[in-house]
Amino acid sequence: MSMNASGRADSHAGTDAGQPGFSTIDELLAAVERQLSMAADERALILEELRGHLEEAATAREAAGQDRAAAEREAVAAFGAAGAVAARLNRAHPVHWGTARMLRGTLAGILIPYAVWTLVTFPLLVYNYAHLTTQERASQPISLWGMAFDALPLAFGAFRVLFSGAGLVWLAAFLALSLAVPFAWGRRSRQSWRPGLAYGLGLLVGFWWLLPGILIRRDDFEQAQFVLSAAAVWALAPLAVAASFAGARLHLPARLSAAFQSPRPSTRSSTTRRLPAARALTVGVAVILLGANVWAGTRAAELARAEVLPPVSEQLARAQAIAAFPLRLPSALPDRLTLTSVELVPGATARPWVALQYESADGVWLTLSETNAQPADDSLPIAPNYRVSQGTVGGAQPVWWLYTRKITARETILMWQQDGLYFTLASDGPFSVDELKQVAASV
Amino acid sequence: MQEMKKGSLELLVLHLLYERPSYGYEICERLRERSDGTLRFEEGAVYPLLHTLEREGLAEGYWEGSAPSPTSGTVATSAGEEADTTRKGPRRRYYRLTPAGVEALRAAVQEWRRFTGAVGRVLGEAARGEASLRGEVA
Repeated sequence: MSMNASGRADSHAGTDAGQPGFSTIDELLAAVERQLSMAADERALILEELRGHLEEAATAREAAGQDRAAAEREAVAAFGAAGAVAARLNRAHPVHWGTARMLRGTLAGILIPYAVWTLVTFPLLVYNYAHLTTQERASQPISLWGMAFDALPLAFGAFRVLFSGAGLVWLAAFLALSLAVPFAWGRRSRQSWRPGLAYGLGLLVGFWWLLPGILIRRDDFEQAQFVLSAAAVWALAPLAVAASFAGARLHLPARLSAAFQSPRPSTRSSTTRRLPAARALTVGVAVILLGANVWAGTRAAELARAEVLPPVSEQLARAQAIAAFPLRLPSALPDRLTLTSVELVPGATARPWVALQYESADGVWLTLSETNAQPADDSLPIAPNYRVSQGTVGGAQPVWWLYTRKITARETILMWQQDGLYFTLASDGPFSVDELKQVAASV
Repeated sequence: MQEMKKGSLELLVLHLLYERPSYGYEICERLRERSDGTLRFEEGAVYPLLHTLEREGLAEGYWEGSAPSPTSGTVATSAGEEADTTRKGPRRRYYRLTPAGVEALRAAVQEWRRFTGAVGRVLGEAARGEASLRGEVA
């Protein structure tokens, strides 16, 4: 434990080198205070001790005949550079990232990215939905809570946003807000990697399901995009360590460095009563996020109220008006099923799918989708995730296949092409493949 | 002189605290008076040192001042002096050595004496060499 008594600032302290000297005790203490990183109560005691020293030194000089201003100026000058004193005090009072703090950091690493994910996704989901055409919205009725649920990480709604025009906004907001936390922790604790490690571990624990999600739902998304998205989220773990390291080690200009300190009322200087820039930024971002989510909630409720579906016959007529091909309806349907809605589902091309939804009173459903645009992925699904068969529908020798998704083992989908149109017939109901083939043949 | 002061502040502060409990400003004043102004440190450097001594268990800090405490009054020090800790005004944070601090001081003094002895021996040889050289010239 050696001490450099010369009072030189070290490179990490956010020193005030090059700044004009302080002339009053309040100014000096405010500068020291801005650069201290320990807990607020500990900081207050330290500042009280330093103030006592400076006041006594100034009073002694005053007693020797100096006026108060000169006495304070000399006491401050004899005290040394604020940055150097603060840096040494920070080293003497390290914020210890022990087991308990690491566990709390890990928990925060789970919860904060989940919250950020949801709060960023919800307004963008609603924004995207609000910018669909009236017809498209009418064919995809939403509810406020359904949209809010979609915004949760496990509901994968963010991936719809990510691959839309608002994808970059989502990505930038999620990365910046998620990484701001380990950066600030590193900055305030002067601990290079531990805060980021705890946060990154939490992130990996919170998003462990991304890879299984890719495997299970790879038929719902472009796989390469999905893998890239998962990689981007998982990359946040090492990035959190890097952010923490940067926060601890990055030499920021004194004003910016001070922005990462908390406001504390322990000194009498009026300058310290101002809200630090980082805190103001946090409040500003929180207000924007909250405002965006309030807007989204209000807008989603409005849209949901406005989208009471018209009668099925009208839905069918609207869909027919948009589709550039004659819609085909099955003539042979299992008992109990009736047409309940007609939806226009955006596809990979400008031409949408038309989805005819048949439902029974007890919740069994069957969906016939048709389009005249070649689907983006019309290749045969890959075993062993799918049970693939080939055969004919209606004796017209089309190629068709059926498969069972692992995520919903009972769901069966038939896909075929006929007369330049592409069809899928899907159901998770208790229908045999032969029954579905009969429905397909009757289209 | 500046380089020689490096590292010596800890030893000096330990010694001053061994003599009697003291607070930061008083330590600075005692250093200045006892060295006739030769040893002048930036006063702010004393506090990180005191806090480090406290964190390492070599010193114990306590507040004295406006609020009376059970330990207020005069404190008998290891050097037989008395520290007046009953006073009005803003409270002060005093520090006193712990037994571990006394041990650390003892070790630091021995180290310092070894260092100064070695330097002295070198300077002594140099002085003899200089005298011898002067004699030859004369």
